[in-house]
Amino acid sequence: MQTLKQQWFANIRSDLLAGLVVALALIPEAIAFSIIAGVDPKVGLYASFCIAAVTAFMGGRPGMISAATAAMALLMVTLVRDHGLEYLLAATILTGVLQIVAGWIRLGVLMQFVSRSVITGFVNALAILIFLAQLPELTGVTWHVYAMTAAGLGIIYLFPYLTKAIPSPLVAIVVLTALSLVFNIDIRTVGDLGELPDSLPIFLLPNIPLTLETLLIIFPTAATLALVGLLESLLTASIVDDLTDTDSDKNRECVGQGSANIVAGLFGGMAGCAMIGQSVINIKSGGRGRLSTLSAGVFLIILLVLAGDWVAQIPMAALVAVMIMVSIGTMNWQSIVDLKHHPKSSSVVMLATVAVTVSTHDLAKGVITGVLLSGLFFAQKVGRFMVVKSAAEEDGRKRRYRISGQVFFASADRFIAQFDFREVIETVQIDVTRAHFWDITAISALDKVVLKFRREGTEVEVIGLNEASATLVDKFGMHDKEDALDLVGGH
Amino acid sequence: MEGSIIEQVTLAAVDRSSFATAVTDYASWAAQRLGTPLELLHVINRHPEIASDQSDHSGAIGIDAQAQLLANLSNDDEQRSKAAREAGRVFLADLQRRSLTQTSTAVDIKQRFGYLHETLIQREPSVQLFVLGRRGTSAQMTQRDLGRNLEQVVRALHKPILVATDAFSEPTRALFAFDGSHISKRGVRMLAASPLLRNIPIDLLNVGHATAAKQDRLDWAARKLKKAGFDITTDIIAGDPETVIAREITERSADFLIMGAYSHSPLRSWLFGSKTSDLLRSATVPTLLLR
Repeated sequence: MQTLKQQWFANIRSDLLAGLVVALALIPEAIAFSIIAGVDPKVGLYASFCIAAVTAFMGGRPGMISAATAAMALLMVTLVRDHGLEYLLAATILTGVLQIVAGWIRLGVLMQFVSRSVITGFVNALAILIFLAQLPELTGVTWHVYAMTAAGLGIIYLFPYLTKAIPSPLVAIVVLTALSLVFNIDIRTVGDLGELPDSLPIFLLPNIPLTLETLLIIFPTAATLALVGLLESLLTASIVDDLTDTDSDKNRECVGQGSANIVAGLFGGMAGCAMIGQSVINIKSGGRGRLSTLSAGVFLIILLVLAGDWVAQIPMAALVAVMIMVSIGTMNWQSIVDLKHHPKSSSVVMLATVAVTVSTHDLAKGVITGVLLSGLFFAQKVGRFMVVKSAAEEDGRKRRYRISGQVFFASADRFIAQFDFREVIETVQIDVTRAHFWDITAISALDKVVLKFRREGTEVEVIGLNEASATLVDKFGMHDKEDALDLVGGH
Repeated sequence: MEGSIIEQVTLAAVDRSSFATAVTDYASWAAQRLGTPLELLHVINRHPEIASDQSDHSGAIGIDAQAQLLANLSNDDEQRSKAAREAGRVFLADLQRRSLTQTSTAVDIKQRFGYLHETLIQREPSVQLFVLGRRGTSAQMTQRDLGRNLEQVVRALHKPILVATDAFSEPTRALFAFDGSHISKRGVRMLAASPLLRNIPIDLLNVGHATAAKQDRLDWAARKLKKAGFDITTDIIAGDPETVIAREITERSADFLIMGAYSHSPLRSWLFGSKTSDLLRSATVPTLLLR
């Protein structure tokens, strides 16, 4: 682990520059996500400032960028529409509390059940949702908007060939804003969407009745927000881990995200989490330390307070171009190519995660679908690892069945089907020494087999049940780890 | 040392500073006397917390941005690691050749990625004596006398540490800054049992006002060491330890200093300064730190 000094001050110049690049990209994103959630742009902008500043100190992953995000914004739509902003702020605080609890009880380990395919599905779904959220700005508008969006994308992707010293999304925004002002083009601007911040955020408790009814309104949203926020944050943290070849503290990150959301809620911001696209931009721009995260938040609020009037003039088309870039950069395009040669079950899990998420606009539902599906596929695959061999012994008086492999809920029926109950024989010996009985279903399947043989008047002898049922023990705590491993693989 | 089956080595931590040759020379001398194999260790710090200079501030992310960035960063790291490895190998091989002319024990060379103090702590169980330079490459640039790494490293270790100066001369007379503390008593036993300074006269020096108790402790130490065959003198001299020890080293033309190190907490030395650091800073001769 790095020291505090290394996390903060080892990379000052690059961190500050990267923070500035990130702040410039955060502004359009925070505005766009506020629009998705149905609140004033200032709610997303205040959130981005608070979350970036708090996670810089409290987060577990230096160099990761957290702010208002699309994944979270999409989950708030209903709450905001039905109950208003104050309830959103309360839900944001509750989200933070739930995330801190998750960090304390070390829920980070649950990430191990989220397979690579689910993560890919999550990322792709997120990219698609970000793109879909731009469509309202692109339907039923004049040709100017299409032209400007196309020009914006052109500048974003072509300008870096000229110089990589200046953020190209910023160039696109400045050029498009200038064009719309000079030619006085009548299109929607950021200022048309609602209030922008004109000062630092102020501390305010949400104005809601503190009743059970309120809790019942905000809890479902807060729980989903907490889950999705942690998922995207831990996922982003491991991406940054890979990119920088360093480790991070996942449980500290949970607590950091929670604290950030509590602060955001108290200062009039919406819930947020780590951002994949922005974190990639940060690392790409040379950001490594906590200072990059903090400076992103601080530059963001400085830019807004100083240049708020200009920000209001930015045409929505420029924002749409930036968001399309984020969507393209977030999507895992390789996964589409991989569909051909990856195992079918993995592809199904990925596509199901995407399909459920895009149709419900809820990443939590998508991920849960993906996790359940991958669990089922796994059980089905492992269930195939069960072989039953039998041979007649003692001149046809006795038949010996030898079971090897995994017997559990997914293979129990197949286990029963392996026995020939109608065979006319004196004794049946079932040798399960080399099998593993994983659950109660497996044991009751064996009971059923024994019973069926008895009904035919056949004597049944079961040997090796102690060894086979050792895996029934839920905790391997009584054995040391190596023993536990022998238990499973010791054939 | 404690009868363990792990082979005990003399471990010299070298980096590409001007101290490297002197560290190697003192380590070769010590390994020869102790009869242990010598290992020259070069720790390469990859500094993952610092970004390389070729950062892209365009802020644009395109198709498979993350995969591409990972590929680029890995390539950079790979090239830097390879370059550092090769440069380090050449530098270590030179030191190994130099060392082999001075000692008859086996000389091994090794490079590791990581932080110096972490690597040394990991190696500690198999080490009889550490040999370090007073400064590393990082301190040369900051003009600080005592390397930033040194105190941190010394505090973390519990085996004797020989801190080398910038040029080697074979020790002929040692000064033992004996303060009667637990650490320095243990040091006396260690020295009596060790071949490191055998046949080198040792002056036991206690800085402070003379008392009967101090004289008793000093006599005990002298008896112990004389029994082990050492040529011993004892003195109690009043004054400021830093000045007295520096003066006595010059007057007696001693060329080796022995002292207990960092017996106080880091907090105390942060508040009041550390006697060990002061002494190390003022000493012009190689110093054996007893832990």
